[in-house]
Amino acid sequence: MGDRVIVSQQAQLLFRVKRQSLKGFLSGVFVKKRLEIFVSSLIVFGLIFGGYKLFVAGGNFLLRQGELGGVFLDRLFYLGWSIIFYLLVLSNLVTGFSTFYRSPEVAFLMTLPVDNKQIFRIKFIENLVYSSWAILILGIPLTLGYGALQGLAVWQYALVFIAGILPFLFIATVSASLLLMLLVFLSRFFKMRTVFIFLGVIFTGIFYLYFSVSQQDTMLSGNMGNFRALGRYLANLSNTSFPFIPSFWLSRLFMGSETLVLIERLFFSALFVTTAAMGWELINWAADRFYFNTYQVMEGQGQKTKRTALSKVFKFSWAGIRPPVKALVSKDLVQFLRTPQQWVQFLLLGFFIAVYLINLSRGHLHFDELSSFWRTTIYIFNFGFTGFILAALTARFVYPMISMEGRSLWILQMAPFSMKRVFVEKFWFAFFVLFTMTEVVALISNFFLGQRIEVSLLASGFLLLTSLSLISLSLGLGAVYAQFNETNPMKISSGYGGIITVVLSLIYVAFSVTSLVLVINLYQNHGSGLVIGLIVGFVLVLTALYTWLPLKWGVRAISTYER
Amino acid sequence: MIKVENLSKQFATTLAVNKLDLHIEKGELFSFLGPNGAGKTTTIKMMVGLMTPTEGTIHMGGFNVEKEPQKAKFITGYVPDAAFLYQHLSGLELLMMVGQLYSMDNKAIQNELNGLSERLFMKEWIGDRISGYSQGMKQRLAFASAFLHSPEILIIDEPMVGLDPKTARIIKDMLKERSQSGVTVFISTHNLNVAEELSDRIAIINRGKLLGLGTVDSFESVSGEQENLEERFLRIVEEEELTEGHSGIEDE
Repeated sequence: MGDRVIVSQQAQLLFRVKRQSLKGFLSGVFVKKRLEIFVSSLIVFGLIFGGYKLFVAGGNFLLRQGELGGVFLDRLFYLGWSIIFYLLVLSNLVTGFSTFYRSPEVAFLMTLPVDNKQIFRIKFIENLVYSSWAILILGIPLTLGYGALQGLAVWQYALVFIAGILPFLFIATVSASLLLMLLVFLSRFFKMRTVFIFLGVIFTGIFYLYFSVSQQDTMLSGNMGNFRALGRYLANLSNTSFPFIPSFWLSRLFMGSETLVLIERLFFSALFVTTAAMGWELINWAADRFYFNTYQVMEGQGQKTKRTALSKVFKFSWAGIRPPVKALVSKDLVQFLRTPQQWVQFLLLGFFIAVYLINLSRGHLHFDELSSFWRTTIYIFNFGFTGFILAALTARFVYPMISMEGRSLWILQMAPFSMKRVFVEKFWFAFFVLFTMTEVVALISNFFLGQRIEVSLLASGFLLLTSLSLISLSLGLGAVYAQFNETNPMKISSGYGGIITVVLSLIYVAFSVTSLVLVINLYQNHGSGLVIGLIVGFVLVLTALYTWLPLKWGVRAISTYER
Repeated sequence: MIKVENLSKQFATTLAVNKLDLHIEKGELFSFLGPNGAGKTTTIKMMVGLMTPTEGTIHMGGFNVEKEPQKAKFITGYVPDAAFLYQHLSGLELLMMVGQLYSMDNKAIQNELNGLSERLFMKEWIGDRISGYSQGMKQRLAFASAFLHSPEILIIDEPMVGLDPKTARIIKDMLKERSQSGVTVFISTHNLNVAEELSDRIAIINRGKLLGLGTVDSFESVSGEQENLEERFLRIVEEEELTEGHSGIEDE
């Protein structure tokens, strides 16, 4: 009984400290950074509102297509929340690694007479909040849009939020925390990188099998009006409405305001609440038994690097490259591959791209048989997707590059060359990796889509310009808004400068995709050469501005850091 | 070799360094003394080019640090008070990187590395990742990285922080050897024993102002009484604080 009182007091004390830190942080931020908060809020609300409008417009379009449209809409909602659930688990997994195991705060708390379970709980809640808020930017418009189409009442929204979305987020964090503890435990026997690569290969294989089984290609090849194929396709999508995952319950809780009876709503609410409660018990039990042990595993790991292949990068002789450049490139490469928050996310993104390409490879599209509308739509989606990948990669991996130098920046500042060279090296390093990667994705996807060679070349050219612009933008703004005291690259990317970078990147992608589509259409329809020239000129000017200005600002910022 | 003229640094409302003048000769071992927040680290950061002076000039080996920073840096080695090093690299990788940054070829780096790792007892752990090093190991590594390219000037901020007595002895010996071979050594410290033992000349600074400059002997005999360096240092600082009141600089 006495122990329980002490533990409860410790929990209260830790939460109070967190609350006071948050209060202090917010009051400081509100005084000093009003403009930044205003701009960030505006952007977040803009994204939510835009997403809502887009979903409602798309939903109305589908509903106008008759009953099939309604079925499609429901499937989209299922699919949306399923994706959000998987993204939440992955996001919790990545942030949980630094929150539970690499945080200086945990190292400090471990030295105090505080129950380890309490430390875990406080970090669990931190992880839940941190990894969930950004994903809700996707979930809120989906929910509001779908609710508007279904004509839900206010009380129904409240029910969905309290008895649906909150436990949904909680269950995702519980699942990820358990999985993380298991992965850390396994890393005693295998390298963490090996475990992740193994999981990546397994999941890619599963997705390949899924796409093979779901036979989406039957819908797209030949006769577009094949309803039997469509029915089969919808049936094969049923794994997204698999009844044992929370996205299914959330969808059921939400769907068909008129058709779903109150008792069924109460059933799914109760299912959520009881599962969340069971999750809380389970995670507490696991934390009690395994958290400290797994923390010890991480503490004793990764120190020995003798004779690893990676060390040879520094000694490797690269013809024609001067030693300072070699040193900078080697350092960036080795640091990246030894920072789990970096390579795990890179691997995950690679996995998603692989899934996308597998999906396309199953399409067997007969491009010439499609109407101009569908051709254009596919151009837009594919090029937009490639541009989106690039925007995501640059905002997530290029933006924090300068900040990640952290408090070791003095080593580079002391080196006998200008900081401009450091900046330029980072630019070309990022350009080489990301341009190659996205170009490969574009070429493969264009091949699967059966696009003509000249269209593929044009898309490649546009991608080159997009790479130049987005990498400059991310690197430049990353230097301007550098956070040298932050060691978590995800937190750096989600700061004020990171949000601005994402928005500006998406605006560029939107402009370049639109321009590309216009040029292709004009070219195919023998349109005016002058108009084509004007559009290309506009893109070139936009690219020049996006490339030159951030580079200029970034070089100026990096050359004048005083620490 | 080091020429600091009329150097000032203003941070918002705080004047951290106030019209400082220093001339240090080639091969001299010079100590810069002062209490916490005196302006020592700010002065050093301006000398190595990590901060820009608000006023005044610094020449290292004849190169103006503001106008020719790369030439000045090429002949300078620096050890900061708290050595933040790339945690994910091993000590060996860090030293390879630093050598390459100074355009050394791998063979030259390896030659220097062999000597330094033996002298500083780093052989056992130099291949391990820096994240697992103790403060003392990091400090030794920082010394090795400063010595690696055989600089003409060494700037060291608090040289003995985190070092065990044996390593501290080795570092002191190395600094003396380098100084005797013509390298100019500038150390900042509030450890008076280190200054007394090593220095050819000493400067005392408080609230950014130079309060005294001379040899260790000149400090001890100025008052004509039996006053050691510690007593003399404390008296100078106290006198200055009484004269100036308490409107001085804050901690750096």
